Amino acid sequence: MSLRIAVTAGYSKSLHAVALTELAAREFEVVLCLEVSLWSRTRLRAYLRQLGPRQLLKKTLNRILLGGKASRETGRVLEFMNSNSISERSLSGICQARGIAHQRVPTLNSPESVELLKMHQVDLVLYAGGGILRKPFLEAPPLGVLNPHAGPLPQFRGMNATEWALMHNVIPHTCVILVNEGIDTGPILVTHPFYDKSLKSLDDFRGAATVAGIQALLHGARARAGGVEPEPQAEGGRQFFSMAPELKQILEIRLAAGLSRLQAADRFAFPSDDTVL
Amino acid sequence: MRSFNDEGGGSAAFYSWFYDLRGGWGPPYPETTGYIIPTLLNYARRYHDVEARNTALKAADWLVGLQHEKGWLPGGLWKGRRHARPSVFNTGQMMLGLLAAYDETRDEKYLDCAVRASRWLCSIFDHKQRVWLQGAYIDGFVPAYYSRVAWPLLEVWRLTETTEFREVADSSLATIASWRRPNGVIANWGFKNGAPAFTHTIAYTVRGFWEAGRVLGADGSQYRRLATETADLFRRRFELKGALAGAYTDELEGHYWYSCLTGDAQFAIIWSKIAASCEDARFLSASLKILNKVALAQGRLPLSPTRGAIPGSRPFYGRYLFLRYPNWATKFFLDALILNIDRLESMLESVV
Repeated sequence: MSLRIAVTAGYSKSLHAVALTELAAREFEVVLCLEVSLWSRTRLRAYLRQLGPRQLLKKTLNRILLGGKASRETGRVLEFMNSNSISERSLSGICQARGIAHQRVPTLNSPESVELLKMHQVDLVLYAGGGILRKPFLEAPPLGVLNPHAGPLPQFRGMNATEWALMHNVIPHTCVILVNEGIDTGPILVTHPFYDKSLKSLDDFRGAATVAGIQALLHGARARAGGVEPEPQAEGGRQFFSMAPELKQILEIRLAAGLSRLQAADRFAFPSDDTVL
Repeated sequence: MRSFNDEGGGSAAFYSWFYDLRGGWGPPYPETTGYIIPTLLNYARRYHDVEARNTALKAADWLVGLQHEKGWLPGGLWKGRRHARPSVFNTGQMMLGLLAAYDETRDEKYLDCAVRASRWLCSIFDHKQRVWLQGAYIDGFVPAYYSRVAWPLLEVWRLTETTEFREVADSSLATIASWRRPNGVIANWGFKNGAPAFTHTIAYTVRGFWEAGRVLGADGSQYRRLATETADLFRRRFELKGALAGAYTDELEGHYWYSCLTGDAQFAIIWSKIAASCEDARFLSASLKILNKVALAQGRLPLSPTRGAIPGSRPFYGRYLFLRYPNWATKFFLDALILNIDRLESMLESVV
């Protein structure tokens, strides 16, 4: 089956969106890239809520002052891009080179975005950023929207899932899910563990999670093209939010000391309320 | 420590530039002096601070001296014996200080005082309606945060094995628990009937249930569950909105234009305790994050009397303790800090 694919992106210089678009274009017909405008009010409000004013200012200043300086996280993604001979670093550049329609939208949930999916007869959307998705967008492509979640499911839903999995001594996974209206509750198409002993910091893990996410999304697209239906998630698990900086610091110390006793996600369960109360 | 005067006695209720244009301390507040005592003793033990210990014990002696012959301890700010009125809630809060002083010194005078207060609480308990109708902050209004009176009453029961104390505490907790609505709100958890509840009094209610459940052990699991579920309701709101509202209506609509920093610090304590008990690091994470927000509001000017203090609200013109630095905001902040430092240190020890 020849799939018509759209890729979403949170910003133009999103390296994983660039890599995903290029690699997807080598296998499928990528017809559209939807890039969410960086300076929308909704987006700023979401960032403010997530990071707080100080962190947001710090992050913005870092981006402006440090510009393209690569962290260990982006270093892994760049390494992956180089190994796949991807030299282009911007979404607009890759779209131009590949003849893909590149549209900047205020949000993915805007009627304009949904209309674009229909206009380009998109079968499947590969999500590489751009905010929480609502029903009209999710229902527009016949094969749905695939999202790589950076933590084992159903156990670790929500934000910072890699960090939370590590905090619970569980091997981190990328799970590609068919997005539904819940938070990371959609049926699972692909599960892809990404732990190896060279990962020694949270940046390393984030970078590895991003690369695994690109690979798992491509795997998911192939599965969808082959008619594979995703499996509903088992009951249970917890929804997580951003991890407190102090806990991240402790996790960094643990990682630097060398993690031991990491267990497989399918052997892990949270204690039930009845046992702890 | 600066809120206590040199002659010994209570902690000034607040510091404010608004209520006294020269800038100054409010009158002593017996209620909050009571629950500041365990904070100071805990701090003194942890950091080997003799002055904090002495101040706490002097404050406990002051409370013993305030007790009425019937056993009650006074409500409101301390303006002399002539103005003293019995208060159920404030008596309970001072009992927490007396019990901490007893625990520290094993001096029976503190326990005796707490026992007399407990007897008074039982003597005025309405067994028909299963709540305290007398000694209210607002006549005719029985607040849900009386769960925080049941807690010290149970602590005295644990020490004395006086069955009546447990029965009255349990009875009041069961009544308040029955006020819980399907949306998770516990009716009357604000200062006034029908008014939005500050997170301060919501947290009072939740903490009362949590600690009462802890004292009761296996018999208190329903109270711990209620506290955990309510705490989780607010944790999720905090995570989704990035802040707790200053106050919530009965429909859980939040007044997000200000934060009640006292309530924030109190929730930091509750979440941290639940995290430890339920092995759920999400609560610890929320506790640390909200405490970081409270810390941003801490007074930092080197020579200012408010150095180290936490204001009632943020922004400073918020509705809770408008333009004041209440002693209890700093108390709960310090409690939460010590609790979380202990948690983080023990996590680090397990790594090294």
